[in-house]
Amino acid sequence: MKVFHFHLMPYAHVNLEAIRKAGTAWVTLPNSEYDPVKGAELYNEYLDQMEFADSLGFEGQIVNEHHQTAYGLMPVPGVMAGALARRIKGKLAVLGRALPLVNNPLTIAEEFAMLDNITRGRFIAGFVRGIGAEYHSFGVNPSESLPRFQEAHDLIIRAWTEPGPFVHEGKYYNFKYVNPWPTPYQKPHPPIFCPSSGSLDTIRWVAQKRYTYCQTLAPFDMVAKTFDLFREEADKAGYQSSPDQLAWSNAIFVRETDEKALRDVRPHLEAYMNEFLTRDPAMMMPPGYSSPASIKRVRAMRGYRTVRQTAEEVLEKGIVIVGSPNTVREKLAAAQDRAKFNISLTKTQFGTMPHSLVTENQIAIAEEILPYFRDRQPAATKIAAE
Amino acid sequence: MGEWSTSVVEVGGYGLRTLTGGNGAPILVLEDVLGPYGRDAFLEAMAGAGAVCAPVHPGFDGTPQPAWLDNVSDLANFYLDFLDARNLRGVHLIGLGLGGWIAADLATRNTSRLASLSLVNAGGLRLKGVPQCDVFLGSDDEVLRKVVHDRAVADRVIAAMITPESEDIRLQNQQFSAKLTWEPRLHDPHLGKWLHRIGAPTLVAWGANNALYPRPYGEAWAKAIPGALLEVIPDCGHLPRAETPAALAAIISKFISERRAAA
Repeated sequence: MKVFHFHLMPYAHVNLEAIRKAGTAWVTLPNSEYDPVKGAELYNEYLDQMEFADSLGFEGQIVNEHHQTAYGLMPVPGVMAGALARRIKGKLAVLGRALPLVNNPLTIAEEFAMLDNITRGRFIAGFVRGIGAEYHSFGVNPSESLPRFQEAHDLIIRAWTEPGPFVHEGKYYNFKYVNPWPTPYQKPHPPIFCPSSGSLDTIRWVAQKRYTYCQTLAPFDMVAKTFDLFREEADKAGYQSSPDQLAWSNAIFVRETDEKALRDVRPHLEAYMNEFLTRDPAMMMPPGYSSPASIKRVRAMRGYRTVRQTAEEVLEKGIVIVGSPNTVREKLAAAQDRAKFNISLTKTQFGTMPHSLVTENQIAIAEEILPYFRDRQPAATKIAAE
Repeated sequence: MGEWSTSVVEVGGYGLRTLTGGNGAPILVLEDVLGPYGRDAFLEAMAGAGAVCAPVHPGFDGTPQPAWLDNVSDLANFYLDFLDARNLRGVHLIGLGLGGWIAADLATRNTSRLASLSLVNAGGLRLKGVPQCDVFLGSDDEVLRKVVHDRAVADRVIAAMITPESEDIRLQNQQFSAKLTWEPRLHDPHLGKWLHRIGAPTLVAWGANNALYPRPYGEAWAKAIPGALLEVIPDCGHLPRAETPAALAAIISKFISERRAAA
């Protein structure tokens, strides 16, 4: 299993009461709640955490994009990736750039090609549609999200693989000259990862393109189901998918005992799930962004907007893995065997978790977890090999 | 004509569902996408003033969304095709909300088949610096409370419109609305330039307490269209057909009757 280190870089010092009062940490939570002195400290701590994780042997470092939110402080992920490119030895990923939000997707092709060149081919490209809240922030039409994403993707792949200058004529993007300098270091282009919350359209599209599908935060039952769907869609597309094409986005927290782990993680995990994440359907699923069926399903989840999730419930659903070294090893192994994936995108920091606790967590993971999974494959694959 | 009925009118390959009722001069009602629509007290009252025709916008209320529909101007041209297809003349065109935006766009292009134009809380313009509520944030009932002035009326509208059975249609209607009005938000940057071309006698009816398009919008519309008459409806928000249906119908009926003309 390849265990990557994934960071959301939240504004961990946020006033949680301010979030409760505003009803959300996204779009409308006033930015007067952001203190740049504290923020500067966080940015530097987070970069230290990424570099430290690299030295501990994580497969790679992953940064991500969100806008106008305390949930994540990387509206321009290229800045963070640039800060890390020459300082880490492992892989470097931006997971992912929100293609529909930009007027010119070629800027993403250019940025990623730069990172691929600087890292001499250690770069992984992530493409996302952008979550619903970004459409409120950016004014881009959510009902155009999917077709814009697909056209932007096609344009970026052309820009990377077709000699320029060439003309691109599309519905959303039109360019008389497409001729980016630099071109990517990796051929035909950097590997492409696509995170999704589980939309069947996305699963199908990723399978058809033979990219790596990343399942974002969800109860593990759902993760297993979406990975099964991916395998089915790969089958329909005429090939047998590999566990290397499936990535589970999670968080892992390791302490000496299960009790200590739960106690230490509780405030940070509960803040992450209840304050930093927003569950307002109108905010997260603006009209046309998801199918009516998806929106109805989310609205129908009992207590979705109002009931606080406890740390116990989050653990029970298998959204994150928290516990003693043994517990975490067992749960991660069971997850890998059940859902048959080979990539873990693991957060070691989340919510309000302070730097010292993160560092201890990272060391514990490096010592107690990583060595056991480096060569571990999903159980079914092992059986097939015997 | 006379009794209410629903039929399908073929317009350029699209089957347009239309509700008709009443007798007399043709009254074409272009509906809003926010709030109640279809046969209600307002349409019943208008049927007393003429032959009401209220089409369902292609893609709205569960009808198929045509491939040619990208923006409001597409609907304006489509309804011009509709008028040609039915060979209607001397039409009193009434547009509410988004329907008013379509009607105004249509009228800047061609008023030859129109006897009059009534714009009720029409969308399509943007006045910088005038705050507008956000109809794309909030649950369905929260949004209705933003745009309806009186709380008791809002309760009634919510009770009637927001039911489990209507959820699918509401979601589709919101997608339709977002497709046409998300960005540029709730307006066409080019429409205002050409409102002076509207040659048909025009009534602008506006809710005094409209939180979506506040009162200055009504004033701007009336100023932009030559000879337009402005009627402000007191204690009324964005949805007079639900909030003050009798007053709205009376204002429009009076306006129409004063302008009866054989086209």
